Order: sequence, then structure tokens, then C-alpha cells
Amino acid sequence: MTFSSPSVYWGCFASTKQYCVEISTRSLLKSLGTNLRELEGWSCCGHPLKGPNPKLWLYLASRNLSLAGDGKLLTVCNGCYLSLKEAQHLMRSSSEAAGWVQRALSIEGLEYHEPEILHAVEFFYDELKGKDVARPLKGLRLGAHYGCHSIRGSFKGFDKATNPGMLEDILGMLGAEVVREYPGRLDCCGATLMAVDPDMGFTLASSKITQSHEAGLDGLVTPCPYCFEMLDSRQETLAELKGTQAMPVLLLQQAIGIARDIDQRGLGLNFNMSPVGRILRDRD
Amino acid sequence: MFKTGFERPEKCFQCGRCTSSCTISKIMGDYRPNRIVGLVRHGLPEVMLDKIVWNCARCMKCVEYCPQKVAPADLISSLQYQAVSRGSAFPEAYGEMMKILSETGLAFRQADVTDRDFEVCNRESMGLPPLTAGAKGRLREMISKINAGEM
Repeated sequence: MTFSSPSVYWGCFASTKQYCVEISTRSLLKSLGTNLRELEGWSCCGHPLKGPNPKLWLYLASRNLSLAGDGKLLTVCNGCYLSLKEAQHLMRSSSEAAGWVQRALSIEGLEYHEPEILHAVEFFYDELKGKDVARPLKGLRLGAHYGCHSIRGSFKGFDKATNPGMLEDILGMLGAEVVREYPGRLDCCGATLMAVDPDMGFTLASSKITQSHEAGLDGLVTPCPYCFEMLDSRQETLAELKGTQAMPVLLLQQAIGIARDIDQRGLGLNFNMSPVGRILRDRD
Repeated sequence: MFKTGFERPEKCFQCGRCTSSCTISKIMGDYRPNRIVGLVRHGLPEVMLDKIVWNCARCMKCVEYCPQKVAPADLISSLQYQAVSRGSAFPEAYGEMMKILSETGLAFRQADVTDRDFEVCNRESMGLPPLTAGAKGRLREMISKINAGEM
């Protein structure tokens, strides 16, 4: 199965701060020959406000679904994926919620739609199947960090929540030596806690990186901008506060792009704060 | 207010799987999702929960491992809403995010970011197209209506 001209939902974080997500996704889609459709007038997915402001969460999430129409909708952030999937699940199971949303959307002149919400992992897995990679990631021991919101939730996800394998399968297609199981593989990066208790967030991120060292990994690969922020962008802080040793961290799109020989700036690798040079050096 | 989560506290039989899988319980011993579910079921004063419900990492492990589909994380989300509705204190970061969202339709403002080579970058300098997002149409009005409880 291939996905033709999906709409892309960028999400706030990837398009206002963690730019390497949008940059690498655009370059990768171009190299795969996949056209993307921009969503006109999209907004925040509502995810961070689900607890304190549930009606606003539901409105924002459903509004983005309504803009996407009934086609494919690619998400590039775990938080956005969970938020949109949960809203769709709620709309299907609660007539009260669905009625409220439809009334609210009609004030803006919008109509609720049911796009097929795709996670970056399932999307790129399908896109890459059967395709050769130009420069396989040979000899690199890589581990997957899924991030909680890609695999867990009340709806049926794209992979087995307690033992997923699709992200590892992609790393395998790229030619890496994949470490399919290591302690803490499915653990939380701590991102949500940054709004509440940063030290607790740093403790979780540090523990995650320490466990990847113990498993002898050369690098971690994640599909989520928030996990990437915790595990890559904050490594200097983690070293300072928790004595965490440096570990190369790549976004999924960057890992795929490296194997497809896309140039470093085209993958936003100048934004990685972890020592990705260790991974790239042997390849130049 | 209609239900926006999938919580079913009435199905809990206190097996404790949520707590044994909980990310926060491991680093904060007195945080126990099964106890939160128990307190809700027994109708103990919600005020007791107002502070601790913000400690949830939203890792969703409790949702995944609960044999009864109680969805403790969703219950905790709805307790966060109840805490806010009662006017009890909530993390400052959410207030700030709400403010930006009401103005822009996004959770953050577009930022200039310094890369590893100390180059200051923004969307334009990196050749990214202008954002197609934002508080266009009647979105801003809808956000303020919902926040004011008029919807």
C-alpha cells in the first residue's frame, strides 16, 4: 500500500521551534517523490491543554481534522498524533461530544471530517518498503525510542503497544545493526513534566540515555520532536545536572535521510546538540 | 460538561498494575495512580488531589497495563480540569501557553533558534515557506467563547 499526496499536520513545536523536524521531513518527502498538501489555517492540536481545558482541546483537535478532509493526514509529532487520534476516537464513541463539536465547528463554517491519521513511523515504513538505500547505516548499533504517545492510548494504534517493532524494522531497512530490546526501551522521556517539575523531567531523560549506554548503543532514534528535545537538545543540561554521558540522538527522518544520502543541512543536522558527529564522521 | 476521556473508575478492583507501571511512582514513591482512582471512587475530598494530579507524566502506561480499562491517566486529566474549575492553582506554563494560543492559534511563538555553529536561524533564513497556520477566520473568537464558558 502506498500513500498518495497526504496532508501534513506539522504541529506547533516542529514549525516554531524544533525546526529540524520540518526541514528533514520536507527533504525526505521530496527525495521519496511524495507530494504533500499543506493544511490552510491549521492550529495547535490542543494536546498540552487536554487536562486543564478539555473542551478547547477537543475543539482544536477536531477542527484540524475537519480541515484535513477525508484523505491521509501525516503527523510528525507524537503529541499531535495522540491528540488527533484521541479526538477521533471520542467523536466515534460519544454522541454528546460529537454533537457539541459539530455545533461549534458550524459557527466557523466548518464541517467535521474523518481523515486517516498516520504516524510518521507507519508512514515512512510503508514509503521505504522495497526501496534501496544509497548509503546503509552499516556497523551502527542503533536503538529505537518510540516515545509514549506513538504507541499507547485507548484507541488501536499502528503497532503493538507493549512490544512494538515497526521503528526497529525501519532501522533494519536502513542497514543499521538494530538493538531490538534494551531496558527502558518504551520508557518516557519526561517532556510533559517540563511544565510542572523540570528536575523530574531531567531525571527521566537522563535515565533513558544512561540505559542506552548500558545497552552499548551508538545512537538513539526517535520519531517525536518533544522526545528529541529532551534527549538531544538538552544533553548539555543533563550532563551538568545529572552527570549524563553524551549519546548521539537522531530524529527518525534524519536517520532515514542520512541513509538516503541527503545533505546534512537538508536534514537540519546542524540543530542536533548531541554528538551526532560520531555517527556522521565515519561516513564522509 | 460531557466526558472527554475514557476513564472508568468504577471498574477498578485495586490490582495495582497502574502503579507498578507508573513512570512517576518510580521516582516519587507516594504518587500512586491506584490510590487516586480509589480516592475518587470513595468520594474523598477532591482538594486532596488538586496538587498531585499535575505530577502525571502522561506516559499512558497505566492506560495500557490496566486489565479493567480504567484509564487512570484519563481520570487524572479530568481531575486536572476539576482542579482548574474550582480555581485551584495550576502550573504557570499552562497559563502562558493559553495566552499565546488565544493570540496566535499556536502553543508557541515562532522562535529564532541558534544552531550548533552559533548561527541564528528562523523559518525565512532556512528557506522554509511561511506558516499556513494561525488564528485565521473565526478561530480566535471560538477560543475566547470556549474559555468564557459560552460554548
